[in-house]
Amino acid sequence: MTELPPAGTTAVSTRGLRKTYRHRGRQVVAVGGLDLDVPLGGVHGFLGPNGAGKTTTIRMLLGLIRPDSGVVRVLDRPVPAALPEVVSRVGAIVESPKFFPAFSGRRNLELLAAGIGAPAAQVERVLADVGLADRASSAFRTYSLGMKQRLAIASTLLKDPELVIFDEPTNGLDPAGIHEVRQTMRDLAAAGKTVLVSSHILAEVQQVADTVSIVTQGRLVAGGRVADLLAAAGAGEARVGVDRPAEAAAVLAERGWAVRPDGAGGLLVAGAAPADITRALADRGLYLHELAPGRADLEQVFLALTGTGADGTAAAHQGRPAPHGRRVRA
Amino acid sequence: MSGPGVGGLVRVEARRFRYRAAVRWLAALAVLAALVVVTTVFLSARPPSERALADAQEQYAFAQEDWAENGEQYVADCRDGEAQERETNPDADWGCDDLEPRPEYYLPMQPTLAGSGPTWVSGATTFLLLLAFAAGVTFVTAEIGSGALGTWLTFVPRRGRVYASKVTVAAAGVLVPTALALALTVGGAWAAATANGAVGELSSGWWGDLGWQALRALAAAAVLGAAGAALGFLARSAAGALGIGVGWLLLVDSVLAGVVPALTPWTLRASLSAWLDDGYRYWESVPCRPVDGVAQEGSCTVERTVSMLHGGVLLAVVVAVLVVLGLLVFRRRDVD
Repeated sequence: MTELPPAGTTAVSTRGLRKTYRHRGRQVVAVGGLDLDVPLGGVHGFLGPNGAGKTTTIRMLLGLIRPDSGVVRVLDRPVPAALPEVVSRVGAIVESPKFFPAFSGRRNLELLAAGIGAPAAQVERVLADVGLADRASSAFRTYSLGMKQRLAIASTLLKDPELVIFDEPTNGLDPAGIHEVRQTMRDLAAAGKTVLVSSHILAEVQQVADTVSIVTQGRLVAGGRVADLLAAAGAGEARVGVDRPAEAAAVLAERGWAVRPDGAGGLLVAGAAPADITRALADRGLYLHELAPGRADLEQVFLALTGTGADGTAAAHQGRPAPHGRRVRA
Repeated sequence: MSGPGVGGLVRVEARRFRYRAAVRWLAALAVLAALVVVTTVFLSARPPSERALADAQEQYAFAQEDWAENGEQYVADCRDGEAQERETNPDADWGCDDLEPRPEYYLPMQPTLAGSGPTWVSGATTFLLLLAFAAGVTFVTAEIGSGALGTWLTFVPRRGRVYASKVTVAAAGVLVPTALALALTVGGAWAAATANGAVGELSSGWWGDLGWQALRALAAAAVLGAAGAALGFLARSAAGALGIGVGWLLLVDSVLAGVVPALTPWTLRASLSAWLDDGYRYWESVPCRPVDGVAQEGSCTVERTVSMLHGGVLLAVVVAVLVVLGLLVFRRRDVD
């Protein structure tokens, strides 16, 4: 287990964090020795396929679940021991927003505000901030999913937190709602807060996150700045556009180069110089209409590292083993 | 911002308790139960009708004729039977000197407030206690079921304080509707009895006893509210908690007391009745005692009593254990 980073450098750090459950008489490892560092400031994406242990980890950060072992530090304080000291500086939405269905949005927030000694005026302010002032008197159960999400965001703002945790915040939202949540996360980060967002919608995280941690089977497989991860994943690959990609893939593979589809009808070829690719294909009567440096996106990085789709299903390129344990650091 | 202490949390929970629709429905049911008792009292305390009086007079006349003809024989038979029983039970008293018919034996019985008031209050109390238990259960399980408890813990992570505030409010919160329903029962019964001329003699001692009975009912309601909350934390679902609580009272207690009557003092039902009604009587079969040094065959039935103090202490201990167990589990359990 590596040492925790120096105080004042991370909003969240875990070392050897482990949680197991009993399920139908079997011991299931939800989080298996996770070392996680969320830098102070900015948006940090927490990625992993379904069942990777993201929500369990977040619940342990918030003291809702008791870890079997490991160390958790939130805002430089040990958790859960010092949770009461830091909880007022942490806002969190875990999975779907959960409030009393029969109470109005305002009443739900008033009770939460009273619980932390926040003034009643704060409730009206955060309701206005998230655009819910007009529906604040309606029962929570009558809210749309987007409104529920906005109420949950309003609840986190009651504390004026330094760290805001969103767990799958855009699940079920329409495009406008997704854009709104994304903007909220960027606004929070711009205001100097740290945002930790777990999501399996990778394009969304790529747009909003400065840094990411990728987990699978409860363990960290990669982490660092998004730009660095993408650069590392795309390095050494060439994108090849050709009329008969299957035939071309066979020709290139004969030369011992790693070839995989790019998902858009072309090929990604690793380990070959562009001139060699051109020559090899031309020798067989296959002519290129595109040859460019490979550009990986976060989904490709994710697939390569976890070997699964974000929904937990096996990835299409199963022939290529996923490099578990690879770590990329900024 | 460290948030309020237990006192502040109790105030927040009291607001939550008041706002809950289920709690308001249960309070309305408590008032309804009181009104049902009052209506029953009014109907049962009405003076006998002319027709009932005429029927009673006729039956009394028949009885007098029969007594004139056979009275001496009835008394003789009675004395023989009494003497026979005294061979095994020296205290037997068949009341053979009091067999002559009297007019009041044939009139429809008209209960009075003085005579039946405590029974009426006791009848209402049983239902009110069930409602208090249900209020405690639903107060906690609704929050667990909706997931709102998890949200609350991300604001107030001190589980001991959260638990203490919820159990305290579950106990205290049921007092107002229970007191209101009891007051309505007593006041309504008094009004119904007065309207029917069936009040009877109400001494200051009678009122004192009734007040003490109502206070015991309130205490029991608070204890059952707390027990409901604790059981809610343990079972995490209203169906589970109500099933355990009511199932225990109806099945386990009944089976225990039925199979081994000697265990009756240790059942919750008997203890609750003893606490509410100033003692609980039950009967047990025991080997008959020797008479004049001669051993008797078979078994004799003896009356036993569970005292109010015994019942109160047993209930307090059981609920205290339940509350502590709920706290220990809640402090360690993962919350969704």
